[in-house]
Amino acid sequence: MRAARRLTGDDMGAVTSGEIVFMRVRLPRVAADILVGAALSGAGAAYQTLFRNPLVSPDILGVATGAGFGAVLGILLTLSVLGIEAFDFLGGLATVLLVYLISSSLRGHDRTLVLVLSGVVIGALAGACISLVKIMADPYDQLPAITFWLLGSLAGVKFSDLAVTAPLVLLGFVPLVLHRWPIGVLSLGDDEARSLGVDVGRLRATVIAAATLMTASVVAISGVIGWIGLMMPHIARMLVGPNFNRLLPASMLLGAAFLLIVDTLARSLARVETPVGILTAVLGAPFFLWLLSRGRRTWG
Amino acid sequence: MRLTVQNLTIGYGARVVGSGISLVILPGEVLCLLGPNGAGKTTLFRTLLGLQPPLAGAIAIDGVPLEFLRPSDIAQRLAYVPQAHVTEFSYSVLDVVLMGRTARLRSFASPGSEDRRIALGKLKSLGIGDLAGEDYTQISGGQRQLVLIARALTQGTPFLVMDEPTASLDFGNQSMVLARIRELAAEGYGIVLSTHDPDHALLVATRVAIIAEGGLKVVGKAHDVVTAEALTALYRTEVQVEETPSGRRVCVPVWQRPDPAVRPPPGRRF
Repeated sequence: MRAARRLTGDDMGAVTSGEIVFMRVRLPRVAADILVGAALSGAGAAYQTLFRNPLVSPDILGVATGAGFGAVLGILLTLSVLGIEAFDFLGGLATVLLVYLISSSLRGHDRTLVLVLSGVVIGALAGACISLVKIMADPYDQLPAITFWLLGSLAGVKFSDLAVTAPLVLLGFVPLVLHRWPIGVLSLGDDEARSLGVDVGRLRATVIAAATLMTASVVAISGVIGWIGLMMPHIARMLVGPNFNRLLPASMLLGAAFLLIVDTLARSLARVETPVGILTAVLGAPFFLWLLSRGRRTWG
Repeated sequence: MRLTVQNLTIGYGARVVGSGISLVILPGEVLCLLGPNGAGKTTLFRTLLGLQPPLAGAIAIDGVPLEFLRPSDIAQRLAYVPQAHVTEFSYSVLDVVLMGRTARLRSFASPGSEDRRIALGKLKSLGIGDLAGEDYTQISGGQRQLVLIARALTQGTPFLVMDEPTASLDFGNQSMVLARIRELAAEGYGIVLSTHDPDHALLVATRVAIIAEGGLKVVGKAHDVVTAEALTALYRTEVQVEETPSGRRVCVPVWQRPDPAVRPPPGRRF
């Protein structure tokens, strides 16, 4: 009870500074690590299964950058947290739809290549838009906020941020759980999934919206933390196989644990806090190259 | 149970691939589609499965038009056996077969122990029960084809649609798959399949349909349709249909140059 009142800030009685640090700084950050890690990895597992491609993830598809552009625009317009979330979601959704439309209209090419390259191109476009917003931002107030946020960091997370984000993540998570079995069937390809009784168009729209909501809502509080959504589903697939019923929970658990560990390192490795996005990129880039070099026809 | 195709026009948008296609398929029948590449077999199959709309005409299962049925309703009546392929992810054989139960599951459910029992039973009935735990991407092409047939059987449909089930299989596996197809028809399944090999049509088909540019040319009993004249016209190469001593018919191409397997008659030099 006392702890709960501490969390909400009602009980401002005699507290040690250690307690304040724990309750106000560390605890929300740990909760955010778990939430963000799980959401990015869950979304990654959904995208990979949906696009039948183990090389896609929220960041590779450009969703995270697109969402980032939406969020940065929200910061520029000094919107509320909810307003930033909304912009963020629309940015992410627009990006994934664009990438999907481009890659499916370029038939006859290597599907993986087209999907990844479309993501890179649209992501770069969103990145340029972010730069434009930075130029327009107030250099004393908004620009530092935008810059630090873009590096991907959970340093400043408060419980009030989580109160907005957690329900949105849950809203994206529930459809993925409900449709876990047909989502796996979708990985056989459109024709086969439909012949097995899956309403492909509707399910795909649902999964894209759900995974994008999960990604975008955590991007709003954490900035663009890359690579987790690519690495975790892949490791999970090695551990429990590609069956989405097991892949989704395994990816999310791994993602939560991974971000918790890496963010703790980011906080304590050096005297100055390293944005966690930098650390995940340092780990993720070689991982991606290793995946490419394996060059198998099928994936774990 | 009957699958009827009435005066169907198939194609994409403005491009008509075939027209005037009419067929009836009954339980216990094997209807074999013969036709050269690009004749529209795949388009016909996709239309038959409700994967693309017909440009005209109608497909009905027991009198119910296909367009009135949801994907899950169609999947409870028509099962599709694609060509043996490799999946993107390393699913286990049992996982692949269980996907056949998708249309039979309640909303938001996953396959349970009963579904697992059915899937294992179908694998056993095809003689590959011991493959259940194997990695689907690591087994042979013939085994994959049988797994996909097992998956179709778990859908619990009266009709099976098979797209070149013997393509890219070696001789032994072709023979094995054809034998299973005959057994399934004997069990009462109505089967439509396509093949590139007229011999396979003679081996398994109760009826044969020839599909060529513009639509369905002939439908009839295998022995009436698979003739030297029809095959010669269809594949644009001279073909003879010969009878073996055991009474089976086989298709043999006729070449201008002598067959290397046949010894040249004495006295002639080449």
